[in-house]
Amino acid sequence: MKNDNYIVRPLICILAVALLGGVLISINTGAVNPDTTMLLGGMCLTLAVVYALLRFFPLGDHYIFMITSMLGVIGVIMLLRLQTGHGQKQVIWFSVGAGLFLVTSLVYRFVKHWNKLNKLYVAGGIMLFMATALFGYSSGGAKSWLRLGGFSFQPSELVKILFILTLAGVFTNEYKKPMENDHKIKTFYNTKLGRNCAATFVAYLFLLFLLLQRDWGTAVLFFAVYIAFMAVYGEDKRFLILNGVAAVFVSIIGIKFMSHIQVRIATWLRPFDDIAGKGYQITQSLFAIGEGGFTGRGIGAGSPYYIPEVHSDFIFSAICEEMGILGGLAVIMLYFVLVYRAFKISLSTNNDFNKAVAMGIGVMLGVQTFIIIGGVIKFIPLTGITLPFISYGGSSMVTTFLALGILQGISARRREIEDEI
Amino acid sequence: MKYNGKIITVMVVICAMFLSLAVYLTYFTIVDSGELIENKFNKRIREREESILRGTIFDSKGEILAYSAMDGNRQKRYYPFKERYAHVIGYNSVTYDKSGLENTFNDILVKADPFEDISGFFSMNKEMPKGADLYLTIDNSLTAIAEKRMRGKNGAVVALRPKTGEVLCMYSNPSFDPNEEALSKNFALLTKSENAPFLGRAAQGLYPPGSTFKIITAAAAIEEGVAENIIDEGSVVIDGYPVENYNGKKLGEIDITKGFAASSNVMFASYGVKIGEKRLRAVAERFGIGERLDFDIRTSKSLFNYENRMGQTDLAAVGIGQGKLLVTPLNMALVASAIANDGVIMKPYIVDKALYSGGRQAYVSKPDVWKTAVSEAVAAMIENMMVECVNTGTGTGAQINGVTVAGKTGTAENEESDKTHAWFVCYAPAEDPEIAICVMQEYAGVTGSNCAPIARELIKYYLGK
Repeated sequence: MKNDNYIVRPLICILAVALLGGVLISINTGAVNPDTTMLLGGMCLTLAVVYALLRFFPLGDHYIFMITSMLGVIGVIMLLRLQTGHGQKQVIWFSVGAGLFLVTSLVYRFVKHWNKLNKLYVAGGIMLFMATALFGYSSGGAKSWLRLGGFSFQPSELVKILFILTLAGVFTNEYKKPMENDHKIKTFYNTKLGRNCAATFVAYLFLLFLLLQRDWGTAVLFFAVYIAFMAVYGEDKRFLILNGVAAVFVSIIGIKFMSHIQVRIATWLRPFDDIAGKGYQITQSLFAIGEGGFTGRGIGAGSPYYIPEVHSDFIFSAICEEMGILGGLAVIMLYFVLVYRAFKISLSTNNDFNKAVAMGIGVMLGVQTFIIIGGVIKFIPLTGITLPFISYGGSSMVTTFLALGILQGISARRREIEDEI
Repeated sequence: MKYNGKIITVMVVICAMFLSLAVYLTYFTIVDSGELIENKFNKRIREREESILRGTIFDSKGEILAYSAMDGNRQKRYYPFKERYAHVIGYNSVTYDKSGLENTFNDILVKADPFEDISGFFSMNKEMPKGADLYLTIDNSLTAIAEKRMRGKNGAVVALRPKTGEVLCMYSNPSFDPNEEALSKNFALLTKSENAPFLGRAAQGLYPPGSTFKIITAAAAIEEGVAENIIDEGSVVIDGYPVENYNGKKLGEIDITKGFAASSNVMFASYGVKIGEKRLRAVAERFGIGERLDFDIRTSKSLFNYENRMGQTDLAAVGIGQGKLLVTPLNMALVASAIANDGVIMKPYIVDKALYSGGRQAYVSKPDVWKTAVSEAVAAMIENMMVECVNTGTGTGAQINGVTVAGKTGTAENEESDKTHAWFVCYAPAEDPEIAICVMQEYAGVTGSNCAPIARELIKYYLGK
């Protein structure tokens, strides 16, 4: 079993982190919490089961889940330390997500023709946005939440995946030969320019919905994914230039006329001017990171609860306070390796559609991580989006697992092909 | 495969984004964070302070002036002498923040011995660590006398040792009770009071020095060689500005010693004109007027407040300590100590040392020269005049049997025409000075003041007479 080292060793590391985290929380908060112990145990059990499945069945890439579980464990430890109830739900979400991850990977792998469903993706996206506009409610400035049964979720999280699938389909589907009786639009769609215009239309439609919801963070994320696709598949410099002009134009309009944006920029540049008001959250975040220093104050020994919304958008600051920026840098590196993994799968697969999807997922994960971490450390203006796998929240956890499930499916398919050869 | 190259480009861009995050985070931690976390909106500062029992503050004889004790599960600060040290030690309040030494020496008061900390980590006995204790140069009994004698008068008393700069007494009246309950009960009233009880007059109050400034004018006149005899007719007109002696008293032909002892305005106004702006300003600066003083608590800078060229009337006014001159009582005590210490002003200090609870030293003050005001010879000549002033002149109220006291009175005109500020600066014994004192009373008038007798009582107590 010598060859198993590469999979067993990381697993042991992750279990050790979970164990140490639990012990430190108990020591520093001065009490052994049976809930904490049980929850971390449950988390580890989930991990072990998924690992066993990955190990003994040919389910594709091993690394994706390893990195994800390390991030998940760090997130759960932090949430358990902040509020046991949140940690508890997060463990459940993680387990649900992990299950969905495996199911998605199998479904994606064995159901063919994902590239033929473009109209469905766009229709689904529009429906989700419409539903949010009609039945949604606001939380944290953006009207982007939908209540379904007992659960709240952000439809835009799901649209992210639909968006990537759409763009991948538009750019990689074969061109059909024009027929006599084809509609003009269909003929146009089967040209390079037509494809570019179609992608642009979908992207701007979704952006419009997001801006109406005032969900700027997600809008920037969608725009970044769209630009990445255009840069790779567009093969038309005019579109990049026009998009650049549009971005500058929208930014200027936003900065000049929208008080919402002005406030964000002002609190980014001069957070201490209104420290008791609008700059409160970001300065509290900076205090936490600053107090943590390199090695942190110890898990359970810091005071991250001074930061409003610490369990969701600002969880990275809590990690920096208690685990130090060395802990923070480790988290950044884990995301980096995860993103790298997505690109690696993209580069090594032969299927054009899957290649595009994998790249899209890589860009989405990378940019999302950049936007939120950059925001809480005051590197860029703050826009509230979640930190995948670490922030408290079900819809983010589940949809990111869904995206990774697709990635996992692609990686497994790639192996099949390699095996055949 | 044809898109792989471009996908790699996108990947490189994403890599650069991650790298920039890591670099910025490291930069923030190394460069920005140290200063940033000192912000008072960082609640962890209070939290950290609460976890360490704040150090005790002792006077020079070991009497406790401030201490902390647990009140339930939170610590509380007690000031047993209430109003006496409100402007020196100040207060440490959750609501009203910190002032005085509690503010400037906060870092030391809440710092446990780092070595003890390690041993405490391994011991089972989880006692709350204690911050370092401050040992002041203040003499509590001396301050008690100042407090008692200043009752009912707004003003300040400063006493220090000329040879070292140790502050023996620093008291400002009116004062307030810095204990938490009293403070929160009276805070609104105190901030509104016309008497400005929060103003520490000794180090922060600014007043025209009046005739006490003649010490500086005399020093400049001697240095410039203009200290000649004059015939004092009781009044003189300089450039259309009439200068009168107190009650218009005619002194006749007098030398500088006589003129100083009798506080002749005619003489010193004309000296001011003869010395000229440049030299007078330079000498005043050597006595610390217009200079920033780095002190243990917040001080105001005394002011020589002329921006444009001074005319003759300005020089005449400054020569007798009027015009746009503003000084702190602490500064005037330093002027007296300059003459006492052969022309050298020692840097004043209140905190002698700080010790961790285990006895290790956390902080220590060493006597240090602040300024050299005048030469030894000039200091000796002015000492003569000051002794004469107490023996035969305006300062007789400070005479003590068997002790030579050197002093100078002052009555400073201010915005209220009939109520002058009263000053007395002095030191004793003149032969080997142990204490220099400045007593100032606001709007006391000539008759209502008892500055010299207060100084006398302080000297008598301090020298054990």
